[in-house]
Amino acid sequence: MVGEAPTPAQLVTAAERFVVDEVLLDLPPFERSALLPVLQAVQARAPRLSKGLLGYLGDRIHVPFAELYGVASFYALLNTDRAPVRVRLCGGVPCILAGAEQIADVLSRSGNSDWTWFPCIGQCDRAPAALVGEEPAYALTQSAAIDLGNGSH
Amino acid sequence: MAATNFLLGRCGVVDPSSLDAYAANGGLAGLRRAREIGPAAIVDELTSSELVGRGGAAFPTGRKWAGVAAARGPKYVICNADESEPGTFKDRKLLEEDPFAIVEAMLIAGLAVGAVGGYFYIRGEYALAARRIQHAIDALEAHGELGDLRLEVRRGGGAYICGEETALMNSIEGKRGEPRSKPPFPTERGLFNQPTLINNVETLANVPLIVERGGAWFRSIGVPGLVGPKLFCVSGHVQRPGVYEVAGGTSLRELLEHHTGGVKGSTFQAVLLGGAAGTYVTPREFDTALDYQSLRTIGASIGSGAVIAFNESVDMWDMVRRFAEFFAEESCGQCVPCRVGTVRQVELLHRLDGSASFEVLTDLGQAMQSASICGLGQTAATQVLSAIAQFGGRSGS
Repeated sequence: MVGEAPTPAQLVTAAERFVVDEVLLDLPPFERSALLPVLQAVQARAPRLSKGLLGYLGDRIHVPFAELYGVASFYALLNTDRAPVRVRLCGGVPCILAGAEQIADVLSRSGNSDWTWFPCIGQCDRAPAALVGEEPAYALTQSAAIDLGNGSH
Repeated sequence: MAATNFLLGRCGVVDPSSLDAYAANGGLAGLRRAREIGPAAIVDELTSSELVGRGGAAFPTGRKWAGVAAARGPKYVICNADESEPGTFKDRKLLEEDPFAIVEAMLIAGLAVGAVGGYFYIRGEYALAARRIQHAIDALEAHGELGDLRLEVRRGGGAYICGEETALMNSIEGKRGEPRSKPPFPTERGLFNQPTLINNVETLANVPLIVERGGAWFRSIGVPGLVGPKLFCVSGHVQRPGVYEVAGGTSLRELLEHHTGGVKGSTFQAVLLGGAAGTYVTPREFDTALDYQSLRTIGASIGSGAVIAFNESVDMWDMVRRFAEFFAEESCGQCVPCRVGTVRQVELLHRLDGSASFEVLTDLGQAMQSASICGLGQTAATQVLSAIAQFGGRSGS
C-alpha cells in the first residue's frame, strides 16, 4: 500500500507544532545558516527532535526532511533518535583516571536510567565530570553521584 | 625557563563581566594601537612576531592574516572555540576568565582583514564560556567598540569534528559538520565561500599583546623553536591538574615536576602529549624542551597543548584502546579510510596479539594518515603508532 505511509510532517503533535511556531516567530526570517541555532532553540523547549517535529519544521523553513534529519542527527547534543538524558558522564581518559567508572557504577545502581556516557567535555582539570543538562558538574564524588542518581543534584 | 603570565594574567583575578575592570588591567590597549597603526601595520606586527597557530597545526599566523587581507570580497573572521581534543581545556579557561581579550582580538582581526562579520564557534559543552563571550560582545558594543563589524556567538552541537576549520564552517552554514577538501583553503574560500580568517582561541589571546607591544617584544620570549608564551593543559596523574603558561624552552620534566607538583602515585609511566591525536612520551624523554624543534627530535609535537599523565599503575594499552574508541565515535563517516579505519583500529586493539597485530595496525595507520580527507583521520592512528613504538614489548600482558 505505497502512498499511505504518513509523511514525517503528518506525525507532528500539537505540542511540537506549537513549539516550532513559537521559535520561528521569535526569529528573523529563516536563513539556512540559522539552522543549528533553530534546532537548539526548538530542543530547549521540546526535548526530543522527533520525526514529526522535524518534518513540520522542514515544511515551515523549506528544507527537505531528509536534509534536516541529516543535520540534526549529526550532532551528539541533539536528541533525534535517542531519548533525552539529563546526565552526560564524561568518559574521557582523564575522567576515567579520576574514577569516572566508579561514578558510573553508582549511577547504574541508582536504577535511574537518565544518564549516558559522553565523549570528553573539557573539564579534565576537575575530573571526574559530567554535564547535567547544559551545565558541568565536576570533581564528582561518590556522594555527588548518589545525588545525581536521585535527580537531586 | 620560568612561568610567564601574559595570557593568564587576568584569569581568576579580574572580573570577567566588567569592561571597566578589563580596561583598567591592560585591556583594549591592543585595539587602540591597532586603530592608530592601521591594517597593513597590524599584519606586519603579526608576521614579525613569528606567532604560530596554537590550535595544533602551528601555521604561521601572520601569513594567514596577510592572505585574507589581500583577498577580495566580503570577508569573515572566526574564532575557533570548538576545543574538543580530549585533555584540552585551555581555551575554556581563556573564554570563561578573560572573555574581553578574545573579543578584542577578534575586533583587531576584523580591522586587519576588513571583515564584514565574525563568528565565535564555541563547543556546545561550554555554556558558561558562551554566556561570558556574549556578554563581552554586548558590553563592547554598548561602548561603541564594534563599529560595523557584526559578531555572533554560535554554539556547537557536540561534534569533535567541528573543530576542523572547514567542518566548522559547514556547521555555521547550517550543513552537516563534515570537512571540505582543501584546497581551496579558507583564506581564499571559507565561510559562505568567501575569504575567511579562522584562528584558535589561544592564538587570538596573543594578538592584542603583539599589537600593543610589537612583534619584536613577542619574539624575545621563549626560544627559536617556540616564541611567545604557551599554554599547557595538564591532567591525569599529577598533583595539581590545570592550565599552565610557560615560555617556550621549558622542559616537560619541569612542567610536570615543578609546575604541577609532580606525580600522583609513585612514578610517571608516560604522558600523552598533544591530545588524543598526540604521542606518548616516557620519562627518559622528559628532559626534552617543549618547543616544536626539540619535540620533533623525539617524534612528538605540542599539538593542542594537552599533557595527560599516567602513573605506573595504568594499563597503557587500555588507554590506547579508549582513545581509539573516541576517534571511532567521532569520525564523521564521510571518507572511507577514517570511517572504516577508526573502527578497525578498535577491533584490533580489543584482541592484541603481539607483533602480528602491530603489523596490521601499522599498515592501517599509514593508510589512514595518507588517504583521509581531514586531520581527524590523518592523525587518529598517531597515538596507536606511538604506543607500538613505546609500549610494543608489553602487549602480551
